[in-house]
Amino acid sequence: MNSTIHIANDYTKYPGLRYERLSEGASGEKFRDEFLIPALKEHESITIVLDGNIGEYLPSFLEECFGGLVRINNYSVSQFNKKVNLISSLDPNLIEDIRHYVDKASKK
Amino acid sequence: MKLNNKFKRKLLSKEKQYNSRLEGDYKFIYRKKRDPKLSIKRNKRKAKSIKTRVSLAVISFPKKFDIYHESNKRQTLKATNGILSKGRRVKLDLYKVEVFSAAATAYLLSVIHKALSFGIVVRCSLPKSEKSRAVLQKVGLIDLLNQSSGLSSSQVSSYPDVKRWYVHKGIDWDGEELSRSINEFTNAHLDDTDIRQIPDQHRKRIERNIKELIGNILEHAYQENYKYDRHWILFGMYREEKEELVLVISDSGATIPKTYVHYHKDKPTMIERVGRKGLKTDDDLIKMAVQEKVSGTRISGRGYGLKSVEKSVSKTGGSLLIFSRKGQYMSGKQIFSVKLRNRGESVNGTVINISLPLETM
Repeated sequence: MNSTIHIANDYTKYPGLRYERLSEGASGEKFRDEFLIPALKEHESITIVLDGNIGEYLPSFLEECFGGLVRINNYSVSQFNKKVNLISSLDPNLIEDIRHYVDKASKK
Repeated sequence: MKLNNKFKRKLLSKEKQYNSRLEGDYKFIYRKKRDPKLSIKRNKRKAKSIKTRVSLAVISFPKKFDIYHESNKRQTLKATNGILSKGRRVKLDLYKVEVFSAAATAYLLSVIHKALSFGIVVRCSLPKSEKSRAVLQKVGLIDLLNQSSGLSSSQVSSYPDVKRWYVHKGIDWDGEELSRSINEFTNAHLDDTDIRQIPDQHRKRIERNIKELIGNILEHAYQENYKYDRHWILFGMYREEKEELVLVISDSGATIPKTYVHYHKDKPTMIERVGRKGLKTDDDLIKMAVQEKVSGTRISGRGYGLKSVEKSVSKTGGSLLIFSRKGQYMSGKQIFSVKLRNRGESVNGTVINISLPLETM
């Protein structure tokens, strides 16, 4: 799998909700399980590009994707920061939000 | 033997009389449908159940169909809730209705959708006022009930405030359709140079808020084993005199107080009154659901829905108003004087009203 994942091109242009049962084919849960985790296992570091989406990213989608890595798959914050590189040129606040979710997830 | 027309008309009118009596007259049903093998008590019970099944319940709607003001709320909710409780066939008597408020109309639409999915037959007699009929046409209620308002699209558009009403009825989640609808609604005023335009940054925020609220509905209002359609209503309008955008999201699933109590049933101190028996009021339960730092489900990483929407709305100087069961919650600058206390009639679902002033965008 490619070390760069472009969410809009590789997954969906209309990011959905947290769980797959709520928004089939566009959930944060599915993106984490089928894209993020396999890519992290295969590569030393990956780049996630958040640009190019048409529908907005919801807090619940981002939290489940990235916070879920820490909460469910037991990545540490330092591992996350080392291995995952985020790009969001159109909306830099998204990166800040993601780091906040990851940080909060590590404290639970 | 050929029947002459006069005799045919007599037969038809007798049949019509028979059917109309069957609809409402319990004694008539009892006499005609009585089974000699059953006891009197069982026959009476049978007649009652037939009456409920076939009779057409007529529900009168008030002149001001509105839930913002206490003076109108009780009658409005009583009429709307009656759609699901009056039997298998209901007729909505909208003749007297002159005013339709945003929240009440959105709630009515969600209840009608629920009734239709339950197999209840719903009819309506249209309002006398042309503007009211234009409102019902615009929100799609008349098409939903397979009726005709007798108004053309130009006649509907001749009412500028009605022209700027917008409704999206959804079942489950469809991200693409929803994004398109929200874009259409927030861009709808681009042709109207008198109205302040919504900057892109705020449009994105509106989309996020709406989608979070719909996500909340799908997850909490309709549980996994809910066997009917998980529908919701998104309603938008532009209020010219206040220069503000009003968004209403409505569902008729489980209420916020009910789901909050369900998620916290193992922590009675959170849901029970202090020093008295019984649960906290619905107003308190909704407030706690909105303001709680941790999600209602108590799962780690949750709790962003209502709280983040409230935060986002207050950033633009807007206001949030929530009706659910007998409770209400309001934050920000409210337009209507709404007193917080437990009330007689309940909203059997949730109605969330967001007002966003365009001047601060």
